[in-house]
Parts: sequence; C-alpha cells; structure tokens
Amino acid sequence: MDAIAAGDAISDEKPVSKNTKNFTKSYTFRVILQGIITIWAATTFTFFLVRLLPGNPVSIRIDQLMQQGYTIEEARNQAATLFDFNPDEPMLQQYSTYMVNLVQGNLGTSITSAGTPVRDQILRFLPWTLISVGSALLISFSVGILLGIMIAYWRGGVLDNVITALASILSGIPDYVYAILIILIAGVQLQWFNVGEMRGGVTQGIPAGFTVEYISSVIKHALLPVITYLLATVGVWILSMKSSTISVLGEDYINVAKARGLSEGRILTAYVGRNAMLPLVTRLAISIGFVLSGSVIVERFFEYPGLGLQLARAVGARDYTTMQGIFLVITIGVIVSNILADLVMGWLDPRVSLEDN
Amino acid sequence: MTMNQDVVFSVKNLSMSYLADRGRVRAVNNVSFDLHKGETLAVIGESGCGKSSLNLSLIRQIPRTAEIESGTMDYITREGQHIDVLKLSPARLRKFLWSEVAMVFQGAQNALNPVIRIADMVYDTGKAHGINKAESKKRALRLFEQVRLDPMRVFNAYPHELSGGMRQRVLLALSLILRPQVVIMDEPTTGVDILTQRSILEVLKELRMQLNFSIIFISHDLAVAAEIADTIATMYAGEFVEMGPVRQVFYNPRHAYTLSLLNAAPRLSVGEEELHSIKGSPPDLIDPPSGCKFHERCNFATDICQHTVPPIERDGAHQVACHHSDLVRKERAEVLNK
Amino acid sequence: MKKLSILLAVFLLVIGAALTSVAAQQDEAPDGVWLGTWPYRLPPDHHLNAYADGGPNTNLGNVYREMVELAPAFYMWADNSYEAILAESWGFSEDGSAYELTLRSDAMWSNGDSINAMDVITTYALGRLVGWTQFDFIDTVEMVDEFTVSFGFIDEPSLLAEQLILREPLVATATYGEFAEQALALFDEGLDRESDEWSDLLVSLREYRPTEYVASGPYTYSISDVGDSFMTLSWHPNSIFSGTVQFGEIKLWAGETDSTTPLVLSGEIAHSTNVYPPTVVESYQQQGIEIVTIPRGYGPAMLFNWNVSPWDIQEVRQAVALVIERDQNAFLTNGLGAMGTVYMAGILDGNIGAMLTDDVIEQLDLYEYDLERAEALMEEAGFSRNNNGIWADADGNTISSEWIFPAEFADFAGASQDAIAQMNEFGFDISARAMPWQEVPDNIRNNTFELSVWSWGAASPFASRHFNNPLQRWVTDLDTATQPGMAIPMEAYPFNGETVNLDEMIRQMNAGVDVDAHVERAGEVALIVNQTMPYIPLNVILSAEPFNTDVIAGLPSMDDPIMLNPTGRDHFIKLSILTGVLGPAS
Repeated sequence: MDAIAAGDAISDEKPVSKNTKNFTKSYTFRVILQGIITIWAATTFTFFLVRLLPGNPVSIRIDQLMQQGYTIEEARNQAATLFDFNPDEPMLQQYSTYMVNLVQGNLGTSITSAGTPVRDQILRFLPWTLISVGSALLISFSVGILLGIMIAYWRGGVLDNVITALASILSGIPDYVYAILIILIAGVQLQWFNVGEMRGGVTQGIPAGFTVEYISSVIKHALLPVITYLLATVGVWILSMKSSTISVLGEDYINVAKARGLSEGRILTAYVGRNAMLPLVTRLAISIGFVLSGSVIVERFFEYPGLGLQLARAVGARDYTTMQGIFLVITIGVIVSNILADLVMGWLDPRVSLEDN
Repeated sequence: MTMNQDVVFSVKNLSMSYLADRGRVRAVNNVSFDLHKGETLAVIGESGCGKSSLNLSLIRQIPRTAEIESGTMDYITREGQHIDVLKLSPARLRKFLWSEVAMVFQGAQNALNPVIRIADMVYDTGKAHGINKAESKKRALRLFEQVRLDPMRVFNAYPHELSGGMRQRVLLALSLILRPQVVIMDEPTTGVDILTQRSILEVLKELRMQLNFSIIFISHDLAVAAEIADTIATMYAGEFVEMGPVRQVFYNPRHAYTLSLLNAAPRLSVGEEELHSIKGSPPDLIDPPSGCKFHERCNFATDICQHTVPPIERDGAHQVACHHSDLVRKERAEVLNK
Repeated sequence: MKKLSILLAVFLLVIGAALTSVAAQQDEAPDGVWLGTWPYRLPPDHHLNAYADGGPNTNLGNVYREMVELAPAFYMWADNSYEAILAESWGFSEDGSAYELTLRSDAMWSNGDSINAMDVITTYALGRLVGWTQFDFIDTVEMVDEFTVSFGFIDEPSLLAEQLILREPLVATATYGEFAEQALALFDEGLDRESDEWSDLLVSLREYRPTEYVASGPYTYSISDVGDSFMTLSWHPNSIFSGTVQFGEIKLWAGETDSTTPLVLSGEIAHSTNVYPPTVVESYQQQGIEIVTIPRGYGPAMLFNWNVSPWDIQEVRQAVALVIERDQNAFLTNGLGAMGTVYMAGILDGNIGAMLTDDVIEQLDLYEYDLERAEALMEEAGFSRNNNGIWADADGNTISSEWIFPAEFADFAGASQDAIAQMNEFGFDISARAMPWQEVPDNIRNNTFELSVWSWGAASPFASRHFNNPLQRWVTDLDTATQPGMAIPMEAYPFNGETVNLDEMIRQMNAGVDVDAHVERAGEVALIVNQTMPYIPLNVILSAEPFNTDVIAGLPSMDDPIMLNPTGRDHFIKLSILTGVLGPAS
C-alpha cells in the first residue's frame, strides 16, 4: 500500500470489546433499561389517566342500567352486587398497591367482573386478536410489498394504473365500512355465508387442541375479520412500497447493476426490493405493536373475541384494572416490536449498527 | 499513441433525445468517433453539455423517456467479430454489457448497493456472466490488489465501511472484473480529494498498461483529461465540436469553445493567474440556437456563426467545426507565447 | 346383621335408580328453540355468581334471568296485580308491620331440592350483605314455617317494598347457603358494613364462582354453554314450568344493536329488546318482521342548571315548554317509536290515568305549542328581544347557553338538536355540544353544565319513581356537598310565592298501603311540576322490538292486557315463555 492509500482505512466500529464490564454500555442492557422505564412511565400515566375519566364504575353502571329501562332500585341493587372497587381509597395508596402487585407479576382482578384475574382476561382475548390482526398484517404487508414493487418497476403500464387506482380507493375507506358491506351484502343479501355461523373465534362445541377440525374452524372464523383488515390496509402498503421503490429505482447502484448485466430478478430482489423495503419494515414493526389493541369496531361487527372489544368494554365501563392490564400489554407489545424493528433493520441494513458508541 | 491500431468501438452519427416537460431535449447530436485498442478518449465539456447522456447511450441504459434516434454503434470483439450494439436483444445486451463494455459511474457514494457486501456484488456480476464464485473472487482479489486495496478486508466489507476513495477504486476494480475491452468512466475523480484523485489516476494508468483496455473518459476537469487521454473530444450542446490528439487540442485548439474551456482552467504553468470564466450558460437543448450553437457566448462570433452551421474541417486526426478556427489558433498561440 | 344392611343398601339403590329413571322419563325436552339476544360477556368475565358483577344479572339481564331463577310473582301493569310464580300467597300482615310470603310447596330446584323458605332467607341474607334497596323498607327477614317468610317493616308497610319482594328472583341455598350462614352470623353479632368481617365476607363472596347454576326456572346452563357468538340455556325437567314451556332451548346471540341487526334480518334472532334506529326498524318491516311496540318507561327530558341564569326563572322555563313542538321533537327522537309528552306532569302519559285523579288531570297545563303565550311570559320575566331578535335582559345580556348531549345515543342527540333548533328559532341563543355518553351524567352531577338532556320517568307503577327521575336523581340523591347536580332547591322549592319541601313530598308519596293517598299525594306534586317546569319532559320513547312470527308463534295480540307491560323486568315474553303461550312456529 502506498502512503496515499494508507489514509483510507475500514472504519472501525466492530471491535468494541464485549466484556461483562461493558454490559452497562451494551445494547441489551440499554434496551432492557429503556423498556423498564417506558413500562413504568406508561403504567403510571395510564393508572392516573383512567381514573381521571369522568364517572366511576358504579355510577356508570347505574346510568347505563337506567338507560336500559331499569328502575332506580333495580339499578342500585345491581350496582351493589360487588364491584371490586372502593372509590374512597386514596389514589396514591391504590397506586402503590397496584405497583407492588405488578412487580410481582400480579395484574389484579377485574372491577366489573369481580374476582376474575385480569391476566385470565388477557390470555383469553389476546390470542384471537393476534391471530386475526396479526395474520392480516403479515398478508397485507407481503401482498403490498409484492404488488408495490411490481407496479413501480413496470410503472405506467395497465397493471400499474389499475392497481394504483384500486389501492387509492381501498385505502380511503375505513375498516368498519368493509365489515358492514361484507355482512350485509355478502352475508345477508347474497347469502354467500351464514352470518351467525361465521361469528366468534371458533365454532362452538369443537374442543380446543391441535386438531384439523379446530384449526380449520379457527381459520374459517378469522376469514371475515382478516379480509376486512386486508382490504382496509393493503392499499396503503401498495402505495408506500410503490413510492419507496420508485425513489430507489433512481439510485445509481440500480443503474450500475443494470450496466453490469445483472438479471432482472436479482436486481428486483437484492437491489431494488431490499432497499425499498427498509422504510416499510420499520413501519411494519411499529404496526405490530398496535396489532395488540385490535380493532374495536371490526371485532364488534363479527363478534370476534379479541382484545379490542374487551378494551372498549373496559373503557366504557371504567374497569380500571382491566384497562391498565390491556394497556400494559400494548405497551410491552410496542416496546418489543420496536426492538424487533431494530434487530430486523440491523439485519437488513448493515448501515444500522445496534452497538453504536 | 498512434492511430493505426485496431478500432474496437466505432460510433457513427449517434443522436439521442429525451422527453422533458417542455418538449424534446436533443442531448446527443450526431456524435461520431472511433475508439482504438488501448486508446483513451477524454470527452470534456461543461455540465449539461450531454456527456452523461452520451455515456448512457453507449451502453443503452438511457432513461425510459429517452430514445436513440439514429446512428450506429459497431463494436469489434477480440476475436474480430462485429457487434451492432443498437440491435442487440435485451438478453444479449445484458451479456454484452460489462463483459465487453463496462462503466465506472459518476458518484462513488451511491454506485454500490448499500445493503449487500462487496463480495456479493462481485459474485452477482460473475454469476450474470457465467463465472463461478471461486473465479470471481480470485479475479476480484487480484484487481483489488492492483488498485492498491487490502483485498480481503474490502472483499468482505459493506460499502459504508469504505471511504469515498476506496469505493471509487472498488468500482474501478469491479469494472475490470470481466476483462472488457472498453471502460467508460464518468467523472471518476469527481468528489474525491486531490490526493485520492492522484492515487486513482496513478492506478488507472498502471492498470491500462497491464490490461490494455480502451477508455472513454468523461470529465470537466481538463488537467485530469490532459494527463490520461490520448484523444480529446470537446462536447458542446450534444455535439463533438472538436476532436483530436491530446497535444494538438490543448496546444492548438481550433474551436472557440475549447479555447474558452482552456482559458477557464487554472494553469500552474503561467505565472499570473488569469481565469476567464465562459460568459453565459449552456444553451437550451429543446430550442437550440441557430447556426453555430456556441455563437451567443463566443467572442469570435460574426454573422455567419448565427446563420450557418459550421462544417467539419479535418486536419489529419484533428477535426473541428468552427467558422473561425484560424482566429482561435492565432489567439492561443499568442497566449502561449506570453 | 351385616348381610341385612347390605341387602338394605342394594334395595335402596334399586329404588333410587328406578325413581330417578322415572323422573327422567317424566318429561322430555320440547323441540322448540327460542332465538333471542342479550349482550352477555364472555368467560372468564362471565360467571354464575349472582352477587358479583359479571354474573347472571349482567349476562341474562332482567329479561332472561327469570328463565333460570324465578321470582315469587309476575306483575301485570294492566290491572296492577300479581300473577303467582313461585308464591302460593302473599300480603301484608294484619297489623301492617310485616309482609308475608308463602311459597308453593311443590316447586323444585334443578338439583331436586325443594324450594322453600330457607332459600328466601339465603337470598335476603346476601342481599343485606351487599346492600339492596329492599332494606330501606324492611329490617327483618324471618322464617315462619317451611314455606313462609315474614319481612318486618322498619316503619309503615309499603307497596313499593311489596313490589321489590315479589319481583326479586330467589337464589338457591345449595349454591349460596354457606355465605348466607356467615352473613347471618355477622348480623347476629351486630356488626355493620364498616367492620372488617363484613368486608372480608364481601371479598370472598365476590370471588365465589359457582360451578353449577341451580335453577328454579325451566332452563339452566353452565359456562361451557357460553360461546363467542351465542350461549344456550337448556331445558331441565324439575321446574314447575318444565311441563308448560314449549322451548327446549333458549339461544341467546351475543352483541348489541350493531351486530344483532343482520341476524334479525336473516331470521336467526326472533326477538330483541335492543333499541334499533327508525331506519333499521323500517327495514325489518320490509322483511316482513313484526314490530311489537311496548312502553319503554322513559323519554328524554331537557334539564336546566338552576344555578345558571335565567333557567332558575319559572316563566322562562314555561316559555321553553311552549316553544318546543313536542310531536316533531318525538319524531326526531325515535321516529314513530316516540310520542310527544301530552300531560307534562312528570308522570309518563301511559300511567297518568292510574296515578292521578281526573280532577288533577283537568287542572294540568298541557303547554300546547304557543309562541305568543311564550313571548308574554318572557316579557313578564323582564326580557325583551334585542335588534337581532335574541331575547335579552334589561342590561342587554342575551340568553346564551350551551346544551350538552350524549353523542352515542341517537335518540337523546336527536331530541337535543331539535329542541335547540326550535328554541333558537324563538330567539334563544343555544349552542350544542356532543360528548361521550359517560361524560354527560358526570357533568350533570357536578353541576358543570348549563342545559342538557337525560331521561325522565321510570318503568315503575309508583308515581314517586317517575318524579324521582330526574328530580331527585340529579339533586337530592347525590352527595350535594360535592355534587350539586341540577341545583334545584328541592327542600325549599318555590311554588305560588311560598316554598314547599318537594323532596319530602316525593319521598313520602308512595309510603303506606293506601292507594288513594298515593294518588292524592302524586296529584299535589304533579301540579307543582306541571306549573313550575323544573325540567321539560320532551317525549316518551317506546320500545319497538322485532318479533319474527315465522319463527315464534303465539305472539299475544296488542289488546292482550299483558302488552301494557313495559320492556325490561316485566316484559311480556317472560311470562309468555314460562306459561307456554309462546312456542315454535311449525
């Protein structure tokens, strides 16, 4: 090497020693610490916030019952039937009790289903939301990426015009409209399926387990919500992937790759696709965090037993402990998905280094 | 360099235009040249004169709105076989590119795919032309050494781990991996510091000597062009307005535009620093000026320049299209005599 | 000796087996399936403990709970009478100090136990533990004999207490006996709600999860019968109604208005008590689904904050009553499922005849739409129109107020928007603000509103309950130190230049058992409310319930007295299912 070339050196980023001494500076430690602080902050915030909502579980229940035509005595008798809630307890004391329990992994019991552990509620409803919104998100993302890259690569063609127009229309319509259309047109009018039968998470009476019967029933019941979410989200993925791809197509390294005589397949995947996907992967990971909250309206229309429906019910009834438990799950979900986004980005994009500084 | 050697790339009357919002832009207009084995042709001119469009036309990688309107591009392989580049099918073109004519693009920062290793780019290139991994790697390591890089470290690095100068040399090495006869270099030394620029030019000269390939060297930097080229072509408004052996063009320029370029370049040989920037700006290629396209900015311009397109005059290997080539030669001689 | 005992045991086993098989063969489940809906909750929120939220009250509601747990009697609104269910006889003791209830001796729980006085004791022991309103009237619950219980009144006998006692479903000692014993022990020790023992017992009762729903009605279910989309109540042979009901199953679809609509349309729900918007009701009719219109027991009322001028001025409130055309308002509230208030006396129009004398009814001001009369009242109160036609006081301050209403309740929102428009047309300056429904009552309670809308009246045969909502509900029933509510001076209420204790008048209205006295006291209050308009009863909402006669046969005609029962606790379907009036359409 001559003197001039010696001036260039591979930038040294890797050789940070990985001793245990440096654990406090390590990515893992940083992530765990950040996670704990975020969870604490979010938990504290929601704890006080939910209690600042107008009304409390008892008064809300009485108002609600009387709205259903109950007399004042009936409403009071029902409200007397044991909510797990003492409005007179000082808030700070409630807070410290809650935090002490939380540290021990105890989420408490539901206020409006007195005696039912919040953990049980979450375990009961979370899987359905994960199944429906999660698979819809992944399908929607994959389809969107694929179509987006295709119409960007062959832009100006018939396929591009049709799909772009379709995607713009699809993404402009909110998910509940699809839910209503699916039920009323495909279900009630055209009778493509039995509206009642498609409700719920699984056909009643099929024992849970890894059986073909159970799993196919789960898939069948998830179909309508998944289609709804798919229709509502795929357009946005298509359009973002298209614009991301178009900007990547203008990059020099694509021209270089073409000049090098690379096959179109290789250019599309390793050169265009991988670079165009980068911004979308971050968004995907962040969306995964919010998957947990589900979609209240869609779950209501299909009576799908997800966490969104449960959260909406808990908020409406001011079930503070259930709300907190679900918000905690969502917080953790968002944190985990952000870590996931970091990891995936670190894997897809070598410029992103997890062990920086 | 003598001009008797075999021609490897013969371009005749090449014209290319592309569609802009306001109309059709004639970016390359009736360009002809013969590139000989081992020859370095430097194309100089201001930015916007059509150099890069010419480049992309030569490898048929023009933008989708562009069109090669006319001309022929005859490429002669080592075996003496003639290839009509403009008639190649997409699949054949793909095979032709890089193995016969390679290119070092402008802007080393973005010319490498940021998400894959240099090794993968080497393998991709090899694979597209039927060269297995081992052979690709062997060739790449050898070339990296020749361009004075630490072969193994660079081979396994990601682009962002390399400095700008290193990337430029990687691109240079990559362009030679399939042993092409012609390498087109678009401003290969732009955007790197002066020391790196020197180093790249040194490397380039060495390589050219060892591997004996021809170069089409695009630059707006006359000093660099003078150092590396055998032949200089001055490009203005999409046309080659002057072309000739490097010494003739530099010492006896015959086109007013070439002279302006020379006057605008800093000269270390002259004591007093006398820089004359060229007045005005490059012409509108959608609606170009009549007659000689340079007349609006030319100090020698007369009526004839406004109305009549100057014919091409030949003087041996030196050719020029200027109504006042004699005046230009005189003026240059005066400046040099000072 | 040994052999003999073995023989005896075998003999008993054989007899037992024979008996049970005979009992099982006694009756087979009928074929029909009732297709209803209730917004029940899903397990694990869903459980079978009637004394904790999330139990049968929530999941079966006041319509279906009595399919499983029967009450002593059913109330008929047409003639103010009770039909026996579990009760054999009932009535006040001769000296009026107690109420005596005797159960029929042949009633059985689904587990085969006899239903007897002990179950009443159990029900009320836990009722007292959790704080039922029955104990505002009674202080003792004593077993007289195997089937008779005596409820001792705190003061005088009460017809209101009678209603509460006769309509409260009884729970099984088999399920709750242990808790009842502990509760009774607490009462014997003289401990009160504040004691640790009391709250500890509440906590363990709250966490109690019965595994079997022991039923007195002909249907029961277990948690495994609760699915995501529907739950099923199944027939059992031991109830006194097991032989009369025509449905072997009661299938209840999950969900509320939105999600039940398509199932009603497709015939998978035959009857629903949900409040459907007028357009949906219309589409049901187009599908040929019968709409049964019965009282709902309330309507929207315009509520004033009496702390905000000028709404404390009687003439201004009267003027408001005169400038809102109530039939139009009713139509914009719930289409044909609402009717403009006629009598404006604080008692639902349908109950006026039973609760007031003709003499009082004649004296009522009907506040028929009359802009001129309203203008005169406004001028009398010292207001005049300014240059823009807006009413202003002597200092030129216009009458500008904000009206808050619940965004989610289409009926209350419709009533509000129409009333505001009509008032502004007359020259008030009222602005509208929608908010989440839970926040509206909260603002009313906290006196942080100017004008609002909430319900008035009650599905109760007692006039005091009609006045209670909203007069006391939003004033004296609150902890007025922190929650002034509508800020009406209930205890010193201005009337004809004097003040009356309106709160006490309403509270005493239905005391005692002398119905004539009730009517007389109701008349006094009705005239005060009618003249002073402390709130404006805008209209009365009806329950327009889809009833699919292709699926269910036996719908009583609208002339049937039972159809005067309102929706809710005294809903006609309850008795009609039990007695077999309703059955599957063939």
